[in-house]
Amino acid sequence: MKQAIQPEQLTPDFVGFRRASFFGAILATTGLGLWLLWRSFLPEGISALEWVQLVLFALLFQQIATGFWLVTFGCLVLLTGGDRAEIEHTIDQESSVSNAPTAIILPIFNEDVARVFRGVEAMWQGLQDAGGTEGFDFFVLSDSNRPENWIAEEIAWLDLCRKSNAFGRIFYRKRRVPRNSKSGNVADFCRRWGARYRYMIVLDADSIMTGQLMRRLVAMMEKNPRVGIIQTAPQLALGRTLFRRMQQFAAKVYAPLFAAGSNYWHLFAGNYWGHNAIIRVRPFIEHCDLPELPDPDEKKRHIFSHDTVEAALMRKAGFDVWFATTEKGSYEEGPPNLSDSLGRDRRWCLGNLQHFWFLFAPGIDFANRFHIWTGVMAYLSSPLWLIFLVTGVVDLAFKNRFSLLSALPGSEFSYSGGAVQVLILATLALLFVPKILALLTTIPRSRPFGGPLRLTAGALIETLTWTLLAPAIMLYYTRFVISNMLGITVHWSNQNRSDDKGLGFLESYKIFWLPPVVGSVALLALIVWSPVQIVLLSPILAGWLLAPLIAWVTSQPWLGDSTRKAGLFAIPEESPETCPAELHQASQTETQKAAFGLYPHSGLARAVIDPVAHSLHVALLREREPNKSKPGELRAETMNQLLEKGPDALNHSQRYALLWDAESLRLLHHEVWSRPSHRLHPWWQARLKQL
Amino acid sequence: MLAWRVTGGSQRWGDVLLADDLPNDLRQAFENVRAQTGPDLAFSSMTHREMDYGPLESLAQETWHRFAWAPLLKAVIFWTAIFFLALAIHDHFYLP
Repeated sequence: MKQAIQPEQLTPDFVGFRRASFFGAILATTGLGLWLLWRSFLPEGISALEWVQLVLFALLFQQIATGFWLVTFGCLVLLTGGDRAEIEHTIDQESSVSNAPTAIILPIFNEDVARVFRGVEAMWQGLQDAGGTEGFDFFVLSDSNRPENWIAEEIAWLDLCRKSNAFGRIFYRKRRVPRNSKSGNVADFCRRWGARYRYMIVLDADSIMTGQLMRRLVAMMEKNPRVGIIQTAPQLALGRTLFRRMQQFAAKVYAPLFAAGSNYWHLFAGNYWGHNAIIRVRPFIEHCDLPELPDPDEKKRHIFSHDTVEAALMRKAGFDVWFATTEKGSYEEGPPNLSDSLGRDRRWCLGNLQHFWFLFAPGIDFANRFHIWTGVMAYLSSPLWLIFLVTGVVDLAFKNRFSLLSALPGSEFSYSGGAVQVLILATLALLFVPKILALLTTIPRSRPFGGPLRLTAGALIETLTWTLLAPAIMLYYTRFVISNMLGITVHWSNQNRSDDKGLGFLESYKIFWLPPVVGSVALLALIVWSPVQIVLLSPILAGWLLAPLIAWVTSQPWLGDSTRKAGLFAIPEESPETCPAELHQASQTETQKAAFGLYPHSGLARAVIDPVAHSLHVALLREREPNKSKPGELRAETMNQLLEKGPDALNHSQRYALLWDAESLRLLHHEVWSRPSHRLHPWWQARLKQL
Repeated sequence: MLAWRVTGGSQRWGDVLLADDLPNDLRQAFENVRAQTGPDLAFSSMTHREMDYGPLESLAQETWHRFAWAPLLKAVIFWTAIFFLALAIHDHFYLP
């Protein structure tokens, strides 16, 4: 092992060399690509369309060159024995003992209740196994606005505290007014309890972290007082559908090189992903509250995607942000199908585009500007690619027509003097060489991946699938970007949050109707105007035409199960020998699913009828507002209506408001249990019998 | 009821739930039940600092709020459609 470099030993020359080599390589590659394209246009003079293409190409080629060099530098780092400048090296392997007050926070919003608390239980147990829970407190911070989720969360919290003997250590907080979504939820925690803790580990509802890793993160923060945030590299795990299994396989194979390449250039100026990270609470409170955007439209001033901005603000305040690339034990779950994945991207797109405001703000670190630029381009590149594609096709069609009119000899590509062919090959190399490098570096340790053959087969199938899906994703990202710019809300219904059930065949066509329509129109246009380009564009056309079919196939859990049995897309975490106990425990679904089965109005039924749920809910409401002893606000006739006509007699807001009214709930509880059954709606009677 | 659930009363004291005289260990267990949803509050002031967004902010304030994107997009779509329609007519009727 090479001698580690401590953060305080990083000299400007060292940092400068790394950044110059990384960005120099990107600039040189982009320049070369641009020159090749420019040369291909030269023989016939550069038209207006080609000038547009040149500008777009510079932006787009820079993006794929960045990906290529991230992986290449990551590969070089790994092949030379690892990076000497990593935050993990500041503590020993065994050094994990620290009792610094640390809050582990889980902001949740209408999540799978059983899964959330199973995760908390697994991590609590993990901390105990790793040396004790002293110093750590858990906070489940709920913004759920579905009554059934809210009541189920309370019961789950009570049962977990009872089971783990963790009253006073695992806390549950429900916000009455959920302002500013997740960032507001975290800020609310900081305002109420932040002063009690030195660090907070921020998790997502589907996050899992091993106890060992949490203790090590605290030790790293204790050792490096200049560090404000340490982001871990969460691995995707627990997937069942083919879509999730392919994603977690790809992340496991490719992500280490990307991570190593990222750390190579940004070092102490890393990014924050919003979860699976540890944060120094005091500077976060003092410097990282999100400012309002200067958007002229008042409705667009709230920052939706907080993480990248918080990292930039932490850096602006003089604290370091590190990426712990090699630490094991950080996990999250991915979306089960393409529909859910795009639903998430719709939200991320809005957030990332908003970051554009910070791109030229004074005082922002150069590295953070690059993180912001990368995030913006992740979505903005799609419409740019589409424009590039359309202008390229139209341009080529024009040249083809005029060359036919003037009876010039030669093929469509002859005017380029071979530069186009070189450019296409270079682009393909930039896209696929990173995957090949990642595969080659994984083959020597391919056993947990099912051996070299299965690993290679998995990588090939995954690459083919994503190559075909990419054009459809480009269309949707384009739609999201345009809609966000115009201020139009794109409605995207998440049909299926669970990976126990795949998309229906017709359902898939209903969701993904856009790509086949665009593909058919494009195909017809090419047949009419430029048939010779059909072969060149066939991967894109095939992707558009087949998108619903691929989305349907990849969403199927049975196909995920079959590939698992066949050893395809295997990852070490799927093997019992190499799966961390926390992850294994979180994956045990059978025991709790029935207990938290949510049905329509189950929250209301439990809060009113179930003596335990009722007394817990009322006690928690009274704990919040102990002096509020006025009679219930729900009028007697409304209460009668609810009892005699059933829960549908009230609308959602009324039912939700009722759950905040302890006195009315107490009266309802009394009425339900004391009224003769003929004065109760059959719905209440059925719930009473069910209990 | 809550204390009954938390202490697992039905397993340990199921036969004495409705008895007039509750056993001491049950009373003790009930008294020890604390279902605390959060530690004592320790308030902090978390407010955002003034942010200078640089030239983009000036540009937005001076220009963007006087600019509507929707009509521009509609015009672009309209003229693009006209262009391709004209091209199709040209190709169909005038190309050899």
